[in-house]
Amino acid sequence: MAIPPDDGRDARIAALAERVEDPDLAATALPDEVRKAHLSAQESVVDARRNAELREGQLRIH
Amino acid sequence: MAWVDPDTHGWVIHPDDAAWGSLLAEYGGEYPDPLRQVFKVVRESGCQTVVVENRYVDRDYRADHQAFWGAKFQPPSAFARRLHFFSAHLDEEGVLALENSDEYLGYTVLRPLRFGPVGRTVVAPPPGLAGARLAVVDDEVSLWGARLRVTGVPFCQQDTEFLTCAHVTAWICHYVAWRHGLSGRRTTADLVLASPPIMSERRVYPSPGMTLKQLQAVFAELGHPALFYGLSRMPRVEGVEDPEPPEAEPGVGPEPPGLWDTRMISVICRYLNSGFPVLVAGREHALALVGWYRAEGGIRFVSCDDQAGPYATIGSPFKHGKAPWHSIMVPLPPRVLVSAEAAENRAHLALLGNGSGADAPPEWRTLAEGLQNRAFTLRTVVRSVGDYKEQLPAQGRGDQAVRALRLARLAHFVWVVEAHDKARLRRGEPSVVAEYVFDATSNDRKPDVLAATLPGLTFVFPPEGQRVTSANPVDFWTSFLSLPRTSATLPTTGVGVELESRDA
Repeated sequence: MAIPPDDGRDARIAALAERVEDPDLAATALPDEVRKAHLSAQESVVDARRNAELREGQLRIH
Repeated sequence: MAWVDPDTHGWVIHPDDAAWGSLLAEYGGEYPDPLRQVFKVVRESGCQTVVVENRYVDRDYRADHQAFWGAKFQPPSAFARRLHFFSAHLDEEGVLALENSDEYLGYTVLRPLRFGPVGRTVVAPPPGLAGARLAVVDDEVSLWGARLRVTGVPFCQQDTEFLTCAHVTAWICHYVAWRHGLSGRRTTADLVLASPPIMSERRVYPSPGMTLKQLQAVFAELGHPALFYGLSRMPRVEGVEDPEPPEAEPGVGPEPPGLWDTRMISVICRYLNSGFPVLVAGREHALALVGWYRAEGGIRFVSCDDQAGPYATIGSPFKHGKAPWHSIMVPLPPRVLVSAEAAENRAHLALLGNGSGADAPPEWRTLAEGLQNRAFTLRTVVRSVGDYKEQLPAQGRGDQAVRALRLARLAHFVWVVEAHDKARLRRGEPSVVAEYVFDATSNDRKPDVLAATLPGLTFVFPPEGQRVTSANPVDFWTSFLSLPRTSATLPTTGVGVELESRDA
């Protein structure tokens, strides 16, 4: 038997679920500086993957 | 005795201290430390019997021989020997009568090479590492008709001419991937021959070593391209301390981050927790980190370093003999596009936000506050969906939630971020209070949420379908990391496309 989908009757749970699914929506409840810190951290993740210094890729190991 | 006696299948030894020394003298070659470590590990596990398998045809060494050693004016024998270790006192009849692997401690292949005799090796972890998180595999061998299984971490020594530390470290990562069914079996020679010479000013062999770019090309050819982290540009993760670089002394350049950047520790542990070995490169040397454990309030790493042997422990990466480390490479299944740090950052943001809304349940608020004051911590692992679902019932979560998650349509690989109560975690009690599950094939910038559990509720967000909400008891449950491993895939044959072998 499949689990019945949430029919949305519980509006409070539905609102919570929307925020759980979309962290950006959830983050609107946070102070600006907390949101910015997260944004900066996430940018550092992308930056680390894209721009790790080529110098390290040139080093020889043996 | 000549290296190959065609009329001898092998022999059995019950070594005392002197005999262990003789074995090391006979087989250790010019660089005996790795074999010394192999013997140390099996002796700590109570080894009483060593079976020497004579005239052993080792797939890796035979391929090396075909590609390189056989072209020498005085080539070494193409045959190897293989030592098998047992914790029981067995004679030859006892070995032939073996019905299970209960007393089997593993094996090491010995090549007749002066500068690097230890070939493919898998021995069980020593008892002292019982509490360590290790990237082990289930391995299987056949000895005189006895099918023997050992769970351990693979190891191989470089030979200084054909295989370098870079090759054998890449091979260790590959062997783990193969034993988990993530790629076909490749030999050590395949790795060497897959090294693109065009990316180096030097010839492939006698090997002068490899650049990390060449290593990346090899990993890609093997089917598990590596995530690359340069220590000079480590990602920041909310909830993880950002260390300040030490002040540079006048006239001296800044200290390299490999001597102070603690973020590398959490990066490495996320992948080790996921069961993947991590390659680290330091001063002209590469080694595989295969595990970690806590001791004296800090993290200790377990390595397979071809200069030190299997299960060598590292007290501090900042004081390691090859420090400063400058790079980290993590070979992963190609469909894992999202990094651990992206998933963890996203979960951290979501959990803070969910606990901060006007209508947030009190338990969600407590969690958000706990993340900010560090009473709670996040742990992040990548898992196949099969492993994830298989372990759900053993975690002590609510039945409805388990059912919803098992029936969920999830990506083949998911990043799972668990929120732990640190005090309960330290006491070894069930400590997980929330979990986010992300699609590993989505985007680092904003990984897609596939499911989430917060105190009281579990949500599943099926693609193109209706959201499912299930009750989840407000209680702590057991982490995946605290459960026994799932039954690892043990392929009997390679399933990938083999590289064409090239003549030397």
